[in-house]
Amino acid sequence: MGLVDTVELPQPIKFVFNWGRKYSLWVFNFGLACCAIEFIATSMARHDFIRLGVIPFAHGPRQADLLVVSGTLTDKMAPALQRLYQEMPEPKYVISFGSCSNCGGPYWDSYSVTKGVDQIIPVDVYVPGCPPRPEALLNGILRLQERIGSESLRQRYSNGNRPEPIVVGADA
Amino acid sequence: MDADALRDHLVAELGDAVEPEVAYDTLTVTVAPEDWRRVAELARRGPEVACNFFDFLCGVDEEADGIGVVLHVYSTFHRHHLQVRTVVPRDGGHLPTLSDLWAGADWHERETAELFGVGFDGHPNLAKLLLSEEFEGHPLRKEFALLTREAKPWPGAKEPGE
Amino acid sequence: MATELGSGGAAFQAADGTGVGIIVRDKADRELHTQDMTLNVGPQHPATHGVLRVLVTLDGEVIEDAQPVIGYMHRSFEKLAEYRDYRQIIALVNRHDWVSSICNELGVALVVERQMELEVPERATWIRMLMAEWTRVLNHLMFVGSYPLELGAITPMFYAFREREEIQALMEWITGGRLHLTYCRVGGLKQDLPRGAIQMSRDLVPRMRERLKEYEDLVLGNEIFAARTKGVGVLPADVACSYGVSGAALQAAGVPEDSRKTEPYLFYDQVEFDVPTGRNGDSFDRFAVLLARIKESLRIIEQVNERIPPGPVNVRLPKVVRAPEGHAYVRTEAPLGQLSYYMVSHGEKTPWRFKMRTPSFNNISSLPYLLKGTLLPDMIAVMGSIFFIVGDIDR
Repeated sequence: MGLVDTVELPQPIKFVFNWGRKYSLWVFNFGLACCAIEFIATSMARHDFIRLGVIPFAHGPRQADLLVVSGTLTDKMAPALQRLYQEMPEPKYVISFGSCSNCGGPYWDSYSVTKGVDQIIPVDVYVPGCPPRPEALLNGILRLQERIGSESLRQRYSNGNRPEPIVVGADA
Repeated sequence: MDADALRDHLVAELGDAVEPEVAYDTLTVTVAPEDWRRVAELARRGPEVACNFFDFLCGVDEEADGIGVVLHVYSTFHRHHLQVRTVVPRDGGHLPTLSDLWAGADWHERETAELFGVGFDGHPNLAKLLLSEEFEGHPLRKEFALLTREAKPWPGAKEPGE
Repeated sequence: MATELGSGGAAFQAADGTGVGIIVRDKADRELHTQDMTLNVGPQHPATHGVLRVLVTLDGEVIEDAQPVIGYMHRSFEKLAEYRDYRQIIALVNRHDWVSSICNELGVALVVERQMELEVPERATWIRMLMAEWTRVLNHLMFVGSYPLELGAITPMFYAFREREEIQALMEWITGGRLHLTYCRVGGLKQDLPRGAIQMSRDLVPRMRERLKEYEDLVLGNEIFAARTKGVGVLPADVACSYGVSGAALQAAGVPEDSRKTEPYLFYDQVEFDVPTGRNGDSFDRFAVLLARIKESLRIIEQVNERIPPGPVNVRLPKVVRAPEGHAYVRTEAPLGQLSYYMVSHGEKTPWRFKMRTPSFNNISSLPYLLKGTLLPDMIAVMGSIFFIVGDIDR
């Protein structure tokens, strides 16, 4: 492995590395269903997450750092999600956008829906709603950026304990 | 033609093979599975009927009676609808395919076959359409229980209808 | 084993049975073996509008066969509808065509009201029409933005979403929701219009009209767009009817079939509008028909704005809503095409069988016919012009 994950970096270098990483998140659009429409609306002129440094339309999972799963995940699609998540290089973050990807949502009793994307991949931010407002996604991205800013990559890779996921609106 | 005129025409053509019923301005004829193909061909090719627009083909679980299959077609020339229904046995029920009469029947028959377990003879490719390959069972049959509902109660405050 | 072909090549079957190739001879009379390639497009792909997968068999750049593989968004609406009562189904069902929520709910309310033989108040019907037409404009704007984007024109996307935000602000003012409105109820509407809603609707119509002119100049008048879409993906009228294709694709083929005109529901027989048709049934016509449909919807909205009478917006329902035994069918014109609901009831709180015949299912089943013989770069032009939403295909 490298230097970054074995040695605790001094604060100025860690600050610069994290600052660079949090303001240049390249998003891999995994728009599945209705929440994808709100995701697209968030990237458009009125709500614009591009000004936060989050740029959509990554050329593929191998060039992306952030995966936003928006919409219902079905059992038929789950292997594809698993594979695309594994193709993303570390460090990578996952935002689960919408109640279908959080927990199955309104299809909680369906025979073909995976009840929550966290059954397959680890999630960093949950944005609840059906569909969530674009402002909720912006809040989720900002809080994720705060967390990345104070992150220690050594801790992330060494002890394997992920911090508690952020839930947008939970402490309102 | 309106529903009553169409009903009279079909009864005149097919006799007692059909049992017509007009409900809410829609004509529904019930036929035996043996006459399925004959009635469909008349609906497609008969000049007075001329139903060229394919609406849908679906199954309805009739429990003890079997599995019902409903075909709904429309004529853009005469502007009338026609519904044809039949009932096949629950185990091993099968019907001749209609995919050579209407191209849209292809996918609808595939869907009915995987969701209800009805066979369609002569269909070019009766593979699974909506469900994943490993899925077992026919979900829209009444005996297929939704496992999540069995495992945990409805999390909302009220049951449907309360 | 080779057989002679008329063009001087010979066909052979590969030893492992994986396809048919053609032996061609080059100038020096040496054999060049080719083999068909199977290419997988999707399910995660920027241009397939969601999780649609197409298995394409290619001979060079020509598509021999295209098989759509669907079911990646199958959420089993029909089974879930059997466990939900008539009010809950409305909330469930505005998620299959996820950019036009009111038009989906409308059909459910109509089919239940038809079976229960309920009289809906006039004001509720007019407001339903208003909301349905604004939702139709919302849906069409989505495709006005995304279809040129797939062909390489990025600007209309931003303009279309700017328009959508303004209409969504109106929707939010009236119903509280941006995307899934859940505004229709069995017997009328959830609540009355708030103050200023009609005036907002009146002000929005001329703004939309002049921007529609911008789209026509930008997109339809563009040479590259015309070159990529004229003559591409021709769908003749008889094939379209046989597949059950409806909506803009059917109207572009020349068939003026629109449920609002042929079997008027709500009060569509009391407003004036035309059904635009195309001549050739190619992708250019489908897009032109889409823009014309927006114009007609704005015409309807203008008329409805002036005709909403005062009165109640819903009827008093019993605590438990039960539909009598029997079956009913309702056909509506959703923005994507013909949306029909067929409901079988055994007199209980929940329906016995609730069939949703969605337009995109039949529209996409015509893809094998449309894509056979086209070039691979034209595949995106054809697929995008059959306007579909994946949730509408798989339900």
